[in-house]
Amino acid sequence: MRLHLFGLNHRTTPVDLRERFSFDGDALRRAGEELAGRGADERVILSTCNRAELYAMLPGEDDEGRQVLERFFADFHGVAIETVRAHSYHATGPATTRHLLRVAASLDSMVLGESEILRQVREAHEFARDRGWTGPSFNRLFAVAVETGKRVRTETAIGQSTTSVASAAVDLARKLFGSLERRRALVIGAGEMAKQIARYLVDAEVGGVIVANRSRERAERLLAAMPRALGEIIDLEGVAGALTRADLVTTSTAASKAILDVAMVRSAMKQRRNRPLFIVDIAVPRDVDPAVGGLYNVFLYHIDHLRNVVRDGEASRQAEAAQAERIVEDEAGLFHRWLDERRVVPAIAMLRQHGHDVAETEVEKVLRRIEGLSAADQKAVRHLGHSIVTKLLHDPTVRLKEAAAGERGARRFVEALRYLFALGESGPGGANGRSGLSDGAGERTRSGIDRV
Amino acid sequence: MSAHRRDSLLTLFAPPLLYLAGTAAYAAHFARGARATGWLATAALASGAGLHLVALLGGGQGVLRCPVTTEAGFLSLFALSVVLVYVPLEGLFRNRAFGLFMAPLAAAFYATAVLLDTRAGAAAEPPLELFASAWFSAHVLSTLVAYAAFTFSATTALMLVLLQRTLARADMGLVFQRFPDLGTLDRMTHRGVQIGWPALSIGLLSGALWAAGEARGVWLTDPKTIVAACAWVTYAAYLLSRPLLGWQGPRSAWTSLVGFAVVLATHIGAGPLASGFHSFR
Repeated sequence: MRLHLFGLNHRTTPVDLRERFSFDGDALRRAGEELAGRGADERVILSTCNRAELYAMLPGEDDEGRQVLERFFADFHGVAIETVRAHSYHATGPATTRHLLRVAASLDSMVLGESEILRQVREAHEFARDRGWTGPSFNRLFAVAVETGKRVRTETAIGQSTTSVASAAVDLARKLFGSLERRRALVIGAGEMAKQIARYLVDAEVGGVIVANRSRERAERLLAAMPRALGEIIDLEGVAGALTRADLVTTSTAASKAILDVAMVRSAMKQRRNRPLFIVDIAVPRDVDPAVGGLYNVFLYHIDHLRNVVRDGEASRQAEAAQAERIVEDEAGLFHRWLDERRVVPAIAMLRQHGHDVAETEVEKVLRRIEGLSAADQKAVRHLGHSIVTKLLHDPTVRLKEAAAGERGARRFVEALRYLFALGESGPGGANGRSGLSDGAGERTRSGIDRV
Repeated sequence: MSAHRRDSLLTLFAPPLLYLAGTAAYAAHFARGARATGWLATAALASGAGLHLVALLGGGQGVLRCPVTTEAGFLSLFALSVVLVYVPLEGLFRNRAFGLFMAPLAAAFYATAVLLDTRAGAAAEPPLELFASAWFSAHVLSTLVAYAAFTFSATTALMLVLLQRTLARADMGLVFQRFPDLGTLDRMTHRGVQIGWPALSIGLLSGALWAAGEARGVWLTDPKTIVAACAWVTYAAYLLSRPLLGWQGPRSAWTSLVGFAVVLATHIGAGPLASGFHSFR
């Protein structure tokens, strides 16, 4: 069994094709079940608008696993296998771990530092775990991925800067007003950017939205796209009146001359008793006379302000990426050390069991021969036997763990132990069914990620 | 002999050194945001205040004399009250940006107190019998509360002005990231004056009543009294300008800062210079 990653993302696949590969709703459950039918012992499917990735444990060599997943992708989505091959990527072993950790840390995201992906990774794992699609290794792997994402967000400033024009506008508004719950937003224009900002404002729990647009139909469409109903629609002529009710204004019309001029805003500010007014003008040419920004307690931003904020944010996020990569390497290293140690744990357990079984057998033989020993003496002899075994096996145990964590790998040591102590063969230890490297708790580990 | 020499150097300088250490840690925390430096900053400031309090209650002399009857003693107690008011508020607001201003202010007040004490010498210490008068005690206590509230108000006002400028430039740097939002700073500045102004009113009134009873010279023309009355008028203007002129935000903040400058003039300027009524000689 080997751990495989197979998928595609925003870098390898254009959006119109990417849409076809998503695993939404019931498709996610069906895909998980179908993958089991194709030999995927453990599997997690990560499907977002920017990526569709399968993490699966499959039998056979690297190339066999790739072919299985490639075929699955093509069959499941009804796409030619050549198309899948042209846009996908595949990895096995530590490369898979590193990729998942980078994804969770948002280092592989379209917008570096975005926070959504961490939630998506966690939910993808929880969905799989709740359906019994994962075992200890996958559970650990995804727990480490989520932990890595959290570490990157707390130990670096990668998530602290603004990632889009719309979110920059909302961040600025929040810094001005604090909570937006009791604030009303006036959205002038109903274009795509207006829709984006309105959506961000609604996500930021703004108290209400007033949409002013020439076309009532487009304004209705904008409001209908909001996740909750809290809007009203007015004519452009009603904007001056609405300025006294709204604290946040966004404008994005195609008007050739200013919609908000100094006289109009000054009059509104007088009626507002100078309560702060936040205006974002993303129209080109501008909808708001720049002199409006000079009025007391009016905070006016135009598109260049916001673009600069996003650009500065990108620069600072890039500067943090190197540290984030170090955290990913650090966590990936710890995860593989854990896997390595898990690999030798069953062998160590069997070796110790074998030793204690031998000691017990021999001590009992001796005790049967010697008569007249008190219960305390018998206990002391038994203790002596087990204590010799413990002391004798102490150094091999420590060195085996060291070998597992080192570059040399533990497999040849495990093989040597199996040969030297006849572990897994019939004999003192084998008789009780505890010997043999392929049984019990060791199976999943040995057949899992540790081999890749 | 200068009064502060009667206390050991450790007793005298441990509090301001800890206030300064707190300042450095608050600055480091502001720059990098590391949790450990944040806790270190609070611990330094709180331990400084703890030692300061112990020295005051333990019968210190000069700037550490309690109850206070000198300008130096008042400033020292003022430094302590600023920290004692601030540390719980830091926990309440879960924001250490205020500490960047509060910690150096406490250190500066304490250092000024030591300087004034050294300058005045032991002769400056009036008898503690002054506190036998309820009016005098009320005067000291209420002005202390007023000035602590004004210090807090001035700090948040300064932060508001800085944040307003960064917001106007759409600068999302450290000030943007670490300071509370503008609305919160405006409310805090207002609340500080809402507490400080009535307390100062009580302070001025109780001082006047005490002075009238004592018949100690012409207190109305005392420089410190005059400057304190100016502070009272400035803060009254602050409170009235908000509802009457709609002065929220920066204008209001500047008024608070002017008021605080007058308060500083009361204690650091007019106080020591006054050889009249408030000198208690």
